[in-house]
Amino acid sequence: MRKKECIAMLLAGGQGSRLLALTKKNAKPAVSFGGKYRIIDFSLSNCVSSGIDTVGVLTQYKPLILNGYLGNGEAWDLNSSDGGVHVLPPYETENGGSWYLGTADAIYHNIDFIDSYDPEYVLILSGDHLYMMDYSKMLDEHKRNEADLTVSVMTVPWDEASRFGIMEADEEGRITQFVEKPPEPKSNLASMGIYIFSWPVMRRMLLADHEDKSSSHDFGKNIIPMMLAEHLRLFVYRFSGYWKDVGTIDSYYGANMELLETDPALDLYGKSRIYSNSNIYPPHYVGPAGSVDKSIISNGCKILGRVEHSVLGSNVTVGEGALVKDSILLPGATVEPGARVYRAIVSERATILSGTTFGTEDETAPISLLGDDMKNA
Amino acid sequence: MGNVIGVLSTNYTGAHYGELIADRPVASIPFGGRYRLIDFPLSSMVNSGIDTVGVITPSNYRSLADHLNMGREWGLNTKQGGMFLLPGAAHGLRVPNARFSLRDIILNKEFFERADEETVLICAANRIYNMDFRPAIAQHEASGAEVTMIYKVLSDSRTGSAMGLFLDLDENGRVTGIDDASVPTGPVNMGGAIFLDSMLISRQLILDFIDCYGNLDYVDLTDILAENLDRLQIHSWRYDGYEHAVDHAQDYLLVSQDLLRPEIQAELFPADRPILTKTQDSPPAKYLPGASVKNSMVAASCILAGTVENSILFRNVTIGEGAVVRNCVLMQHVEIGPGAVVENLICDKNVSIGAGVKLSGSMDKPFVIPKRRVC
Repeated sequence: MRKKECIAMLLAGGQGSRLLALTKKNAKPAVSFGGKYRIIDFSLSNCVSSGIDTVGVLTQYKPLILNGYLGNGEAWDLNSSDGGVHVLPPYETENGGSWYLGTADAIYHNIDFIDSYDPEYVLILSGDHLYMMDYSKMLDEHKRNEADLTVSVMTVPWDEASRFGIMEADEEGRITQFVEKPPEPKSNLASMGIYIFSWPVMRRMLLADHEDKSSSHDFGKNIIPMMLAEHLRLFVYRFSGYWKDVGTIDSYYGANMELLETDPALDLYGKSRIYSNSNIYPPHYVGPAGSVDKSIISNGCKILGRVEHSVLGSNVTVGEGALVKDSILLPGATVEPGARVYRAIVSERATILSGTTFGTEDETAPISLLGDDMKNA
Repeated sequence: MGNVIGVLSTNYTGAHYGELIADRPVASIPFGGRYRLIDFPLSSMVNSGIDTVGVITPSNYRSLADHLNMGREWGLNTKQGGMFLLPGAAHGLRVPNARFSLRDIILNKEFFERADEETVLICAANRIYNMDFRPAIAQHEASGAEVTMIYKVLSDSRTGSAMGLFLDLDENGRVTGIDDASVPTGPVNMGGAIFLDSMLISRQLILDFIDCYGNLDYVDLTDILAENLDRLQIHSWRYDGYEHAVDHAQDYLLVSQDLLRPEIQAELFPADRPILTKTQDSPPAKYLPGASVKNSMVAASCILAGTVENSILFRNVTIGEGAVVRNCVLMQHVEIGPGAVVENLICDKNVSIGAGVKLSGSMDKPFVIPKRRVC
């Protein structure tokens, strides 16, 4: 294998249980977003746009859709003969096998994979965040600081800081303290779960952490504190663009709805492209009696009814006389003629039956959710 | 389909296309919001199980090669079979409107020699259809014919000057005459069997033609067939699905608007036999306040703030606030300024219509605005 300066390890094994029916059949990174995308498209596209051509994707929870979606990585230009996408599930050895016990444990079990590329640096990413970022700038800063670890951070509102892993840093950006979800935060620099490690140091840390039976084998809880205790060189990299971890139904719904604004913070129409592995559908069709207002519509959709302030994934059908309002219809969903959908998420290939109403206009009620392949009623 | 290879013959042109072919071959004329003409026969071949396709290219093949991307989207970037670009002959000052020039085939003799398959499906790229060739192939193989010409019965008089060839058939479907219809001879031959510029032909017969006719300067495969109707087993296969030729700007607008009919959409874009094309990873289309779209096809990454009716919008078209677009085809990156009113226009790529500008053609004589023009 040819030597690589930096390879990425993308953690894509999480269940995302707070996304309820959206992750019933599907790992969170493979949940549809923004019409035609899946959440993992964002980190994979960021890698390619940043010049990183080797990505290990660590899978664990319900990987069927994710594996099929990744394919050979071609959709993200990650099908090179020298690098590309490698799917890395847990595996068995002569001493038995186990699931990945934590984020650090997942990387520990793939030390051989990383060694095979003999990298200087390893970029750790999470497959379930929405953002556009040029990792090469972060890597430049990591090198300039001669850091052992660089953690990407953003400032968050003080009243939300206790939900995050909070970094305290000195004027040079050197991390002095890290606290996971502090009740009384002393800083509002939140970790985004994006790390660049110098590989020799990381390798040593992973081996030490593996021996520690009391460890929960997590980067935030174990590896970073261990490195701080050793007085290694840990730095923050300040990021100021859009970044979101869509952990709950409300935040997932909100992130989709934000795209409908005239100038949304997450700009899918700008210079940097988000690549995706989508089927080839014809352009969408709006029928003579169809109408669409303030919405995002993907290829393959057929709109014979009315769509207001909604996000429609690929190949969605909205029948005659139907109304879809303030909702997210994921790829392949069908709203039959005369049906009404309000403030709802209708998952992939799900159907809202003719003449029925799904969801409510009441803004205090929770978002209604229909799972993949389901029919309402 | 183990015993058939495909050949797309695209080294021809025609004055009728006007500005649409100013700097592209006919095969790469954009169509249907995201496709190019060649996608329809090529996808039909692939969906019929053909895994080796040669594309005879014209000399200005840049846009075509870029679009085909060595067959990637069609699954033709394979070790076995796959897509082969076959350079066509230089035509010099001749107007190259022969669809199946033997000169092109001679230049690529090796492609035909190397294949093991007995049959070649050869198609031009000027017609919109999504054809399942498998029944035609089955009939060809069962009949023992050396050639099977694919036709449909002309039932539609929309095109003023139907280009191409009509076939005379006997009661068994054998071809007894091939008549050139591009010379207008009064009313269009309604009920006639119009050749769909696609045929199944024995590979050995093509090699024989190369030997026998190689010294003739320029001759079309169909001319050779017409000369040898008695000597060869030339049969026909009737196609009954949707098909329309795109031979000039007027056809272009009419056939584009066919796509707005749900029954034609269903025939052209069935889920199990998709028309494939180069993908560009554009974000979905976005409707801003003020957008009103009726009976139209809108491709990804369009940004709409005005009125659009009976139109086809390719990728990345922007419609400004208060603008009105009726009966138009707007290709990639067209920008319609706020308050502009346009009707019966075909705007090629990157055309920009300024704020408040009013422009209209008619359905009979659509107005074609060439690439990158600013109005």
